[in-house]
Amino acid sequence: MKLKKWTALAVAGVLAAGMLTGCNASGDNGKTESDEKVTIRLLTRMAGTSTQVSIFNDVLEEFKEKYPHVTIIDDSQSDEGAFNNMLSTCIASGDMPHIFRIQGVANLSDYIDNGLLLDVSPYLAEDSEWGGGFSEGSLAYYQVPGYEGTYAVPMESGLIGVYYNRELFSQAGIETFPKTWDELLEAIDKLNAIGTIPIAMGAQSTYMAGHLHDQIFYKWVGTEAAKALGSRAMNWTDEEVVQTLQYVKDLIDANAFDQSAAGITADVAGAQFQQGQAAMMITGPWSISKFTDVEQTPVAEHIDVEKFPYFKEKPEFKLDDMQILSPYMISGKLEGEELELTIELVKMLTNKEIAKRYAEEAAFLIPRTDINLDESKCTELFIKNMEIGSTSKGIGVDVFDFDPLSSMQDRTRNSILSIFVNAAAEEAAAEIQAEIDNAYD
Amino acid sequence: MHMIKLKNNNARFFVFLFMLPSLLIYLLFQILPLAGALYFSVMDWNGIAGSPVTFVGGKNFLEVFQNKDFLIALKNMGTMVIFSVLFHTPIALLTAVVINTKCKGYRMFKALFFVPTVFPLSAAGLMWYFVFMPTGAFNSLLSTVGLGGFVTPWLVNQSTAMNTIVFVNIWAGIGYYMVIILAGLTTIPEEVHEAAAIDGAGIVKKFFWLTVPMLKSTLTMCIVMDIIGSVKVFDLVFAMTGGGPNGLTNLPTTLLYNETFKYKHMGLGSAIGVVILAICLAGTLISNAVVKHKSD
Repeated sequence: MKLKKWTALAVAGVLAAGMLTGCNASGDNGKTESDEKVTIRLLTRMAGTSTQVSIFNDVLEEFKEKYPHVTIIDDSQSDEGAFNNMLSTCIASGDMPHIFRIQGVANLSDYIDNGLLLDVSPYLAEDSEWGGGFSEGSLAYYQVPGYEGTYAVPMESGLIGVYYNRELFSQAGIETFPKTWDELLEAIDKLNAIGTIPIAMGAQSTYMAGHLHDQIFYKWVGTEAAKALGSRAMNWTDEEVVQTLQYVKDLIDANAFDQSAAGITADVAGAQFQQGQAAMMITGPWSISKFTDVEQTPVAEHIDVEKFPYFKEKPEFKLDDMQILSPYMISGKLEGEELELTIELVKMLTNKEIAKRYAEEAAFLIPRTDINLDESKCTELFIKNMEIGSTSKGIGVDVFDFDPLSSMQDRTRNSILSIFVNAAAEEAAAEIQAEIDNAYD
Repeated sequence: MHMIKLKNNNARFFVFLFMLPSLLIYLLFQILPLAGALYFSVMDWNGIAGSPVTFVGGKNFLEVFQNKDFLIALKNMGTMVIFSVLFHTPIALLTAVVINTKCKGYRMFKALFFVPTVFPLSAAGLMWYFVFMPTGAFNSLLSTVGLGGFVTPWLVNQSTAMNTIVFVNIWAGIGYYMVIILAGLTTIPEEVHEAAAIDGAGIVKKFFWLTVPMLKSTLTMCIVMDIIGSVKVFDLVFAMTGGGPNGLTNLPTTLLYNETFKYKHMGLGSAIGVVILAICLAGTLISNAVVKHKSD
């Protein structure tokens, strides 16, 4: 009887303990049984089958070979929604991955205050060959107002431009890419006349609608206005800002997009452009490797890139452009060997050798000034993107990047999406402003 | 109700011991999160570990009922519950009765009707998304058969988006309720039908005067489960539209998720969770009271 009792106790104990151990599996802060073993967890957007992802994976493999006692857990997600969900859970629990990215700058203060973000400036200064190679502007972007230091290592940059199909433009009788907003509207009419979708738009992936508005916003009120919105010197319901949303509405009314754009994902919109069904697509340099691959893009030879047209009434913002700037951020909770190895991995992922490989093989630009590019190995589209991107005077990423409220990413994008389903510009603006007003109630 | 009396402490110890793992699971994954939701529903928190959690009393609940998105979600939930109840059980009943006649090929039909229940609802939702997306199979079919005029973005159009999701929910649930009703049908003695047949009752009369009354408790259970299940639907909407565009197809469950994880309104999201709990609880209590009243 006694034996039975102990067996039962053991079974119940094992089951209960197993459960609790399972719950705690990810909460061991990177260390396993032995202190010598280290686990590094990554949560980036580097997932999928693109060339840049395979280079990223090569670096991880190289790191594993160099440090065999390190286990790499790569939780990276290519899908923005899935990525945001995982990141939100990590942020709420405080169980941050070692390497991750949070979009925005002004909203980083809460993360810094709670020790979730590492100031990387000492490490950049310590290794001048690595740290000194980044462009000043890209590092300055991650210097959060009111805080000492730099809170991310930049890993991706480049102009978010308008990629267009020269052949379709030619068929529609458009000789040169529209330089101004009025010319853009004329081009849209001509493209509609030949039965082509003028601009590929998958607004169900709300970032596409957001990027469209970002472009209009920077050309109408300039990149500094985004900072003014973030500092509350401007409101979303200000006439000038509402006008930027009205221009989105004007494009919809001009049939610039597929009638069903609000129900189409970015992938479907991308396919429309790559298959030659749509004449333009607003996207970043991450799409270049797809657009230059004939297997993925049968119309690859006809694709070119230009900046988003400016408004004749606002020539002062002609060179205010939207550019992508993505970071690797490092958990502020790391210490000892775990921290050293994480820094080492970030160095391997962003040094000048790998930056050269990224640029030449994947048309993926790490914002470094010391890349010895062999232009003959780069695609024309990538070179053109770099050339026109270098003329930008004012640079903005997403408008909400400058907002201290982290909810603004989804609020602004969803409200812009609502314009695609019949909301007025004023309604969208009021909805966005209400998010701010409620937060400060 | 007859309760087993445990003879001694030893037996009580064993019972407790075997209950312990499931009790821990229940506490960890049900009671603790529930307590967490109740706690956060009266707090304000930005969702960042380490940030201050401030007591705000009933402010979050006030915001929930003033939030137009929540009112849209409630309306959508009402549509979902009403149409699910109207279609699930009646269609499942008819299907079960036909299959119970053991007609030719009944096994195949039984399996076919049950297949949607086997799939995870998120997978079914994704499949139907590809059918109903603007460039999807359904619109292509309409165009191919010359009904291009009916082509519409089913999951975006204000008048069709929620109805399309309700349709998929009905499709996905019929098999489940059919199996429950089939089990109920096997409890009706064959002799009753034979006696009715001798008395001259036809198929229709037997259905309305015998089958339906004798399945009353099963049908009531199906309706109760359907109401509660429809209130809790999340995965289907999440996979098909994510509650969008801009909240048009949100249910309280998806709104909870969006408010909490997208907009980082942890307090508001938790308050929505508590409201959903209250709705489910009220639904269950009312249904139980109705069932008890009828059986008395």
